Amino acid sequence: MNAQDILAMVINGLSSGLTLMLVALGLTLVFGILHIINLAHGELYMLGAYCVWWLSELMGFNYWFAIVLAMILIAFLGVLMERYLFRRFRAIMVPSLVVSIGLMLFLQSSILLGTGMGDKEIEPVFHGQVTFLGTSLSLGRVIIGAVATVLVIAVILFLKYARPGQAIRAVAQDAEASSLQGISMNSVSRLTMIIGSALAAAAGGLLGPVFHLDYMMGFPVLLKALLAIVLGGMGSVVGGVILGSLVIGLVHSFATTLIGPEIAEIILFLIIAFILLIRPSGFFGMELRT
Amino acid sequence: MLLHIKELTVHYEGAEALNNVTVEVEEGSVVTIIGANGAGKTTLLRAISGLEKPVSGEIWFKGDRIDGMLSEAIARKGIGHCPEGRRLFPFMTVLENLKMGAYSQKNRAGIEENIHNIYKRFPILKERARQKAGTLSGGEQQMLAIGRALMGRPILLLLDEPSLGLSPLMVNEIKNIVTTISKEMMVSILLIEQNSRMALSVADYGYVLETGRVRLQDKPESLMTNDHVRKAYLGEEL
Ligand SMILES: Nc1ncnc2c1ncn2[C@@H]1O[C@H](COP(=O)(O)OP(=O)(O)O)[C@@H](O)[C@H]1O
Ligand SMILES: [Mg+2]
Repeated sequence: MNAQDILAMVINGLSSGLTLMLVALGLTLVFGILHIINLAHGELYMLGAYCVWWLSELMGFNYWFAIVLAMILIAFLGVLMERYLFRRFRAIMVPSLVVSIGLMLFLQSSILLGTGMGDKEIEPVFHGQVTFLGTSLSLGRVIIGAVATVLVIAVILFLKYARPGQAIRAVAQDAEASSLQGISMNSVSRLTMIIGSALAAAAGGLLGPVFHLDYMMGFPVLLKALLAIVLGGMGSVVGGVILGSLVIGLVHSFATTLIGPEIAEIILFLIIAFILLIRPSGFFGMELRT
Repeated sequence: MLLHIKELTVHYEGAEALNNVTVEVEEGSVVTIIGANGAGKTTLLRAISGLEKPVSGEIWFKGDRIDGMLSEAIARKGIGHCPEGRRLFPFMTVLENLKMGAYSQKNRAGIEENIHNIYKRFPILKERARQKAGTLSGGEQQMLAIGRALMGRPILLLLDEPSLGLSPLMVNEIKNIVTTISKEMMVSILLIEQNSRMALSVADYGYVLETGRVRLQDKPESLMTNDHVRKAYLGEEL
């Protein structure tokens, strides 16, 4: 193994870490605001991929336009989920878990019934390789990583500087105190679901051309996103998620190349279990909200 | 009458926190409610802001019935609430906390002007503008909490034990701030305190709350000469 191989593993790891970040960021925001672990969050990713497939392969829309449209459609679905399900179960742990599991199964079987089992693929828009520091990298992977980076930065800037973004942070830190400032809990929950759903849909659309579509594709991503959040310290609104996702992307990429894709997932879980043994509260554990 | 609380009863899971409490705040006045720990003072303010739902009774503000309204709607009607324990946004800066206080305000220029005024009144907040609220001292946090509540341009300000945990010097400062807010900014105030001496010295009218009931109510001068108040709340030997 030489330096080029390592660089390739790093770049691939960063790229998949960044797309994972899109999913994990939404999941942690929803947790921070609604205090619900939305186990159906992976299905928003899956639906994003299917939506892009439907729009670009069947309807013939441009791939990027299809991603934007999918983000809007899935965000609308997120609004409905918040309005009719999650809002009633805010901060009630067990019932909200049951509801989100039910939703997960419902969305999976809807896609299975609606589109059947057959192979579905999104035609990659970018082919070939780019050479970076003497290393040959898949152009598609690089572009996916770049788009994910732009989206993550946009969300961070929104949370930091936009008034509604600041309201999201305020509610995550103290919901009651926020309502005393005239901040509407319901609008903040809705906005959070919009952001989380759109990001998950974007991740699904971006990774769609890399994998075959499958109605079960959301679940492993949900698990990794949960790991990224736990690793980063559950509840720190943005901080830990970024680091956690990158660590998981990198570990997964190294394990896949060095040991093989079959056991990469097991290795991933083992290494993370080990990290959490040393730092039970994750990297950013001290920034927990309460 | 600006605020009229009529025969309010509030329960926590069966336990009674307030029983048939009637309190009035006239426009432009400073009204204080004194009482020991656990008397129900915080519960009363939380009920006004819609954070606790009363079992019975009514709350009227500016001629509208507000019990049953959402907290954010009550805040937007002009009730500022400086809660027990300050409840700042600890990971946000001083400036961000102030801006959150102005969340219901739409006029950007007005918000900037308000921040300017608050910095003038509390220069320490300007010095600490970019610091996280969680890193401030107790007195600074209390000023920020009051500043944040003022950013919403309230008509009525609810203050829940602003002097708690502060040095005698800071307590005196809080007293001056209450007077300033009332006299110069024309904000009516409902002040809750365990520091009865300080509270009665700034108020126009006072209530004594004991185990969820109004035990006494009168002008501060009269309360201060009342034997029960002198013994139980002012620590005087009779
Ligand atoms: N969240 C709660 N759940 C149950 N009981 C409560 C709760 N908050 C306050 N209480 C009880 O209600 C009573 C009044 O409390 P509170 O309004 O906080 O009093 P004060 O502010 O005067 O110290 C106390 O007996 C207290 O123990
Ligand atoms: Mg209290």
